[in-house]
Amino acid sequence: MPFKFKGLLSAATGAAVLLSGFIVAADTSMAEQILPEEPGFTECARLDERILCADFENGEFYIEDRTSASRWYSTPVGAKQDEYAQGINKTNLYSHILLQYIDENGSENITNSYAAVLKRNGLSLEKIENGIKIIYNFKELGITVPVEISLTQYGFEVKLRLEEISETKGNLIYNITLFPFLSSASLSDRGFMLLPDGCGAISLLNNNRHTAEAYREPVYGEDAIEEVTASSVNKERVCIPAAGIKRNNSALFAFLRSGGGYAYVNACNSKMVNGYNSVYFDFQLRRSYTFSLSAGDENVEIDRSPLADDEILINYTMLEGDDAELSGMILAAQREIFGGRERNVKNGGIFLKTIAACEIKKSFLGIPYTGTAAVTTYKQLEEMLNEIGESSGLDISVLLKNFHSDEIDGKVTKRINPINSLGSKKEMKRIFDRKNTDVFVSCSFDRFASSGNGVNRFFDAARNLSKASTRLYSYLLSTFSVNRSARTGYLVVPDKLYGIYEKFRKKSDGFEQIDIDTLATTLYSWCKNKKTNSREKDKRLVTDLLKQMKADGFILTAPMANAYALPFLNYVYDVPASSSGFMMCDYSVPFYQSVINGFVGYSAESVNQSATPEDSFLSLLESGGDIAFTVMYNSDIPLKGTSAEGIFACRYNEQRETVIEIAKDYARFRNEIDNVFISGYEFPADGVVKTVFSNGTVLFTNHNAREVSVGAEKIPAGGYIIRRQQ
Amino acid sequence: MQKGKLMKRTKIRFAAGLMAVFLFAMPCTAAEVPYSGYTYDEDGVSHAAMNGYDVSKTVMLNTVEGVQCTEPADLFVEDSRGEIYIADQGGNSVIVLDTEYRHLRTYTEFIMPDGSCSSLNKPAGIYVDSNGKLYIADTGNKRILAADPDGKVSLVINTPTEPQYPDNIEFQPTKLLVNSSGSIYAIVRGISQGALVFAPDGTFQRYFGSNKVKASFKVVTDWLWKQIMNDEQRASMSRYVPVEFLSFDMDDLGFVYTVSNQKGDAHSRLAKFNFLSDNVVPSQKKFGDLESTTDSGYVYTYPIDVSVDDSGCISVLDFERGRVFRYSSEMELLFVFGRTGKGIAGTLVSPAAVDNYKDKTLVLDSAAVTVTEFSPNGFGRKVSSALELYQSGQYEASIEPWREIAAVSEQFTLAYSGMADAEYMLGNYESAMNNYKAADDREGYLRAFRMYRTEKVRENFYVVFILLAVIIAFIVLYLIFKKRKILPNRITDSVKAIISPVFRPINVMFRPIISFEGIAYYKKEKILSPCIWLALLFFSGVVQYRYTGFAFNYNTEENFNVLMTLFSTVVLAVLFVIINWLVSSLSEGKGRLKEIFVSTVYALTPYILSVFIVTIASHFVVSEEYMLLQFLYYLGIIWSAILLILAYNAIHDYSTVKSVFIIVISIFGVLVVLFFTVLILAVFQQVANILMTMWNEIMYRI
Repeated sequence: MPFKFKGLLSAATGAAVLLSGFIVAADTSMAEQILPEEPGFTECARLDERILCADFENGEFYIEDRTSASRWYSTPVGAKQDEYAQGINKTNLYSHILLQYIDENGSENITNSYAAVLKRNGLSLEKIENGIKIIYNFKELGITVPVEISLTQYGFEVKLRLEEISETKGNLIYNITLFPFLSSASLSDRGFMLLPDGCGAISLLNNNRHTAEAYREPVYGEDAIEEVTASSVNKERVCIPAAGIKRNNSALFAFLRSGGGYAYVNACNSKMVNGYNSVYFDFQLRRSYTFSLSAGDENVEIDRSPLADDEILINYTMLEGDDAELSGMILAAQREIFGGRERNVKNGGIFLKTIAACEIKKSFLGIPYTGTAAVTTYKQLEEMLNEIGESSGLDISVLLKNFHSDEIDGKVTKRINPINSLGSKKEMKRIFDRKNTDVFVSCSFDRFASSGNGVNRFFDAARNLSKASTRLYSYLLSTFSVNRSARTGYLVVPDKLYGIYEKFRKKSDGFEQIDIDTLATTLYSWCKNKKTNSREKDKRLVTDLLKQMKADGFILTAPMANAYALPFLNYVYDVPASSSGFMMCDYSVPFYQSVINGFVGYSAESVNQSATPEDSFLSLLESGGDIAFTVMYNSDIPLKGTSAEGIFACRYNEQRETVIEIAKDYARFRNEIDNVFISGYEFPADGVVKTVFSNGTVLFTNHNAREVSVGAEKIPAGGYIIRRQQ
Repeated sequence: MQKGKLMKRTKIRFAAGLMAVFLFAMPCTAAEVPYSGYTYDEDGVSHAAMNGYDVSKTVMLNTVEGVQCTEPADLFVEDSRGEIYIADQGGNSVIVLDTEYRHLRTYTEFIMPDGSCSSLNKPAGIYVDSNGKLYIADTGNKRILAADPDGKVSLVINTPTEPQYPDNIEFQPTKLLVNSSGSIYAIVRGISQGALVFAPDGTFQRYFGSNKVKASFKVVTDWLWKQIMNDEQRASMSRYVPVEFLSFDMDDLGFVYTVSNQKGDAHSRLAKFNFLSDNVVPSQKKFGDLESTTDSGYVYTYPIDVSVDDSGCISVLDFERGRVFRYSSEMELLFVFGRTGKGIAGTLVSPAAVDNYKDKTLVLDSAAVTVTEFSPNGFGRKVSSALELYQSGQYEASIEPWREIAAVSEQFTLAYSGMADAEYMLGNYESAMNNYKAADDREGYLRAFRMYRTEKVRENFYVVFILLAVIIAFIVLYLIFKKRKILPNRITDSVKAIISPVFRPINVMFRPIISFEGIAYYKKEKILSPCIWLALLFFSGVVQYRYTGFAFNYNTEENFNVLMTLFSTVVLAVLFVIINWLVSSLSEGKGRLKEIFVSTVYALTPYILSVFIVTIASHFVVSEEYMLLQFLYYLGIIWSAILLILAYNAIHDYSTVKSVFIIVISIFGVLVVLFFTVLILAVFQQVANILMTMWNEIMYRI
C-alpha cells in the first residue's frame, strides 16, 4: 500500500486529550476464532472470504469476514437489552428502515420497519445472486420498499431502486433511512467513527459526548434551491459521500456510489439515543418548501411528484487488521472516486488567488456611480510572480478573480473579455505564457446576477416548489438579514448548463485553464413543468458536463470540490484544514486531502486570511498541500463597502516581505520533503503531529505555545522539525 | 519570533517567514471560530473584520467527572484562587471547578448560623471574593447567603424591612457584587430603582444607579395627557418606569458597569456608574448590534451579562444572538465573537453568563450546559498589546503595532484612532489627520487640523503674504484700467459676452431693484442664464452633501441619492415657480411664467454662492470658525429671501406685504402638491404589491 496511517492526526481543535492509549489495541481474542453460525440464520451468499447469512423469519442478516471472524449485523445483537433507548428509539433500534412519510392531508409522520412491517408480517426475503432481497411492506401505509443486499469484491452493497418503491394509498415517502445500525458499535467496543465533515472529523467511540447534538449534515451541502434563511455559522461541507466506523479490529467504510444527491450523513455517540455509536445515511426523497405569497402569510408546498428514476447504492468496504484504520478508509475512498488511476500528481507549489479588479464607487462632477478599477494590473502581477517565484523557486498557480467583464457584471461566462484597465494584450500574454506558472480564470456557468449572454432571469432561473425563481442573497454580517443593497443572484436551470458551456467553448479564445467554482461545489433540485428534478439529476448533468469539458481540453480547478467532480479536476483550492467543529467529534483529520493526495493538486486556504497564520502554516505542512495566498497589488483603493472588503492582509505592496518570507520558508520545507506523498500520521503528544512521508522523512509540528519534547526531539513552540531517514 | 526547525542530522534551520507583519505571540491549540468577524464604523454600518478570538475549549459540564448540572444560571471566576463557580438553578447547587475544568466540589447544602442545614432554591447569581467567601443569590428562597469556603453561612439577607423597599415586590435577588469594603450590591427582580446596596452586616442602605426613562414622543404626550386626567384615568394608563438592570460587574476603580434590555436604545444597553450613581458613558456611544433587521427595522440585542477584566476591557453578552461584544476601557468596540447555533464549538444555544479569566472569556450556556472558553488568537493578542502600549502612554511604540493591525484588517477603526492619537502626540499632524479621517473621528481631526494649519501658515507665511499682495494688485490694476478704459472694448465686450450669462445674476444680487424692474419691463431676459444657475443649484446640493469638509460632514457616501438631491433642488424650485405663477395669476399678478422663473432663480443666487463658499471654506476652518461659515450660509438664505420679495414686487407689481403673502401661499401650495404626490405614490405602491401578489399566486397555481 502506498501509505498507511498508524494513528490519527489531530489538527488544531483545542481538545486537550492525552493520546498515549489512543491507538486501538487489536482484539486478538477474536482474530483466530471462527464464529459459529447464528441459530435461525441461513447462508445465502458467499464471495471469497465473506458470507452473507439471513434469517428468513425476521429479515435479520449479517455479513461475516471469515478470515477475521468479524460480523456486521443488520441490527445490533444486544439491541433488545439496551437500557438507554426510550420510546420510539427502542423500536428504531430494532429496525432496518426508518420512514418519514406524508399522508394525504400533508401531515408528516414517522414509523419504522420493526413496528410497521415486522410486527405486521409485512416482510419477505428472497435470495438473489450473491445476496438477498428484502421487501418491506408497510401494509397500512400502502408503501413497499424493496432493498437488495449483495456481496462485492471488497465487502457488500445495499441497493434501493426508487422506481421499485410503490406508494399506493396516498402516503408518500418523505425521508428514508436504510440500516441505521448496520455500522454501529456498542459501549464495550473501541475505535472511532469517521465523518466526512470538511476535511474530515473523528468521533471516538464512547467518548462521553452524548450531551452534544447528534450529527446530521447533507451530502454535497444544502440544496441551493431552498432560500433558507442563511445561518451566521459557517459550516464545512460534506464533499465525499462516505462515512466509516472502526470497531475493535474491524472497520466498515460506506461510500455512496449513487444517491448522494438525496443523502444526509448521520452519526450518534453512545447514550445519545441508545447505547450504540452509529453512523449511517438517510435520504430525503421529497422536499417541502415554506414560502409566503404575501406579507404575513405562510404557505408550505410539499413535493408530491413521483419518485425519480434514481438508485441509491451504498457500497460497504469491509476492512480488517491493519487495514481497519483511517488509511484503509482513505484507500477505499480513492478507489471509489478515482478508480484505478495512478497517483502521479505532486504538490509543492504556491497558489496565488489574485484579485484583478474591483467594483468601486467613482464620481463624475460629484455624482457617484459604480465603476471598475484595476487592483492588480498585468505588470504588477508579473512583478509579484517574479519576486515570489525567484525567491522560492517554486511553481505558481494563479487564480484571477474579477478578471473579465462577465464576471464583474455578474453574468454567466460566455466569453472572457479581460478588463481593459489591467493592461495590454501583450502584457497579458506574458503572464499566461510565463514558465512554471499556471493561470486560471474564474468563470460562472451555473449562477448569475444579471441577465445576458443567453440567460434570462425570468426564463432561465431555476425555480423552487413555489414556482418562483430562487434568489441568492447576500447577508449583513451583523444581523444576517438580507442585504438589500447587494445584487441578487439566481441559479441557472441545469438543463441549460450544456448550452451555456457550448457558447463559452466556441469563444473561449484560448483560455483553457478555468475555475468552475460553484459548478463543482453546489447541487440543487429544481421544478419545471410541474415536475421536480432531483439533485441527483443535477449531479448527473454536471458530471456529464465536466466530462465533456475535460474531453475538450479544459484544465479545471474548483474550491473544495465535491467527489463527483474530483476525477475531472486538475486542481482544488481552499481545502480547509479542519472540520466544522461539531462537539460530538473529537478531532479533525485531513481525510479529504489524503484522498486526493497524488491524484489532484490542491492547496489549503490562504495563509494570510487566517488570524493565526503560524497555525495555518503548520496545518498546511501536515496536509501536504500547496501554500496559498490571496493578494491584490494596489494599496490605494479602499476596500470598504466593496466585495473585497472581507479579504484581509491582502495588499501585496504592504505584505511583500511577509509573503516572500513565508514562500521561502515553505520552499525550504518542500525541498527537504523532496516532493513525496504522505504515508502516515501520528499524534505523539497533545498539540503535536507527526507526519510521515513515503520516503521516510518525518515532520513534527507543534501547535502549542511551549516547546514540546517527543522522545529525543525538542520541537519549538509553534514550529516544526524535519528529520530525514538515514 | 516564530521559528521552524529543520533537522538534517544535526543541522538546524530557522523558518522566519511568519515574523514580519504578523508578529504574533505564541499560538495556542485553539480552533478558529465558525463564523465571519465584523465590526461597526462610526455610522453604525457593519463591515467585515478579522476575528480576534478563537474557541480554545468547549466543556460539556455533565461529562466532567463528579459534575451533575441541569440548568446553570451564573458563572463566576475567582482569578486569584483559579476557581470557576457555577450556580446551577436546576440542581439547586453551586459547582466549583478549577481552571482546567476539573471538578473540585459542589455545594448543595449550607450550615446556617443556628447550626441547621439549608439547601439552595434556584440560585441565580454567585459572587466569590478573594478569600473564597461565597455570596449566593438564593432566588427561590428569597435571600442572599454569604458563606465561608467550608459551607458555613455567616450572613443571611432576607427581604429588607426598610421603608425604601417597596412592599409589593418580592425579594428575588438575581445578581451580586461585593466591593472592596464589603458592601453587597444586589440586582433584584422587579426593582427598577437600581441595584440594592447592603452594608457588610446585611443592612439595606440605599439604591445604586438607575436607568433613566427616555423622553420619547409617546412618553411626553402621555405625560401631558396625565396632567389633565383624573386619578382613575391615570391609573389605567401605562406607567413608564426605568428598565431594571439585568447584570453588573465592577472594575478595580469601583465603577459599576450594568446592562439592561433597552429596546431600540443602543446607548443605554451598557452603563457605567460612578460612586455617585451617575452614568458616565458618553452620549454618543452605542453598544451591541447597531443595524436593524431588514424586515422589522428593530435592532435585536438583549444584553444579559457583563464582565470587566483586569485590563479594563468590557465583555457584554447578548442573549438574542449569542454574541460577546468586547469593548476597550474607552468603550471602543474591539471584537464581536460567539453566535447562536447548535452543536458546533463556538456557538451557543442559550447564553446565560460571561466572565473573564486572564485573557480568556468564558461563556456559560444554560441550555447546552456547557462552558465555552474563547481565547484571543494572534490578531486578538496583537490588538491587546497595542492597546496596552497606547494606554500606558507609549505612543510611539504603539504606532507600528497599530499599523500592522490596520494592514491586516482594514476596517478595524481603532487601529487608525490609535495611530492618529500617537501621531498627534508626536507632532505629526498631517499623518494624524489622515488617520483620524480613516477612523471617522471628527473631533480628533479638527484638533490635528488646527495644529497642522498653524504649522503650515507659519512655514509659508511669506508665500501667503506675497500671494495676497499679488491678488490685491491685480484687482486694483483691473479697476484702474477699466476706469481709464485702457482695455479695448472688443476685449471687454467679448469677455462680457462669455461671462455675462454666468455673472448676470451677480449683477442682480447687488442691484436688485433696477435689475428686476428691467426684467419685468423689457421682458427680454434670455433663458440660458437661469438654466445655468439652476444647474448650479443642483450641483450646490451635490457639493454640499459630498464635499463639505470632513470635520463637518456627517453624510455618508452610501446614502447619497442623486435623485433626491435633484428633487430637493431643481424640482422643488421649478415646482415653486409653477405654483407661484398659478397663485399670482389668481391674485392679479402681472408676471409671466418666464419672468417668474428667471427672477426666482436669480433670487437664489446668494444662497447658491453661499453654499459653494461655505463648502470650500469648510476645508480650512476649525470648529469655532465654522460658526462664521454657518452665519454666511444663513446670510445667503436671508439675502435670497429678500431678493425674492423684491423680485415679485417688480414682476407682479405687488406691495411687499402681498409679495410675502404670495410666497407663503406658494410654499403652502408646494407642500400640498408634495403631499398628494406622496399619497399617489403610496397608492401606486399598494397597487404594485397587489399585482405582484396576484402574479405570484397565478404562477404558483399554474
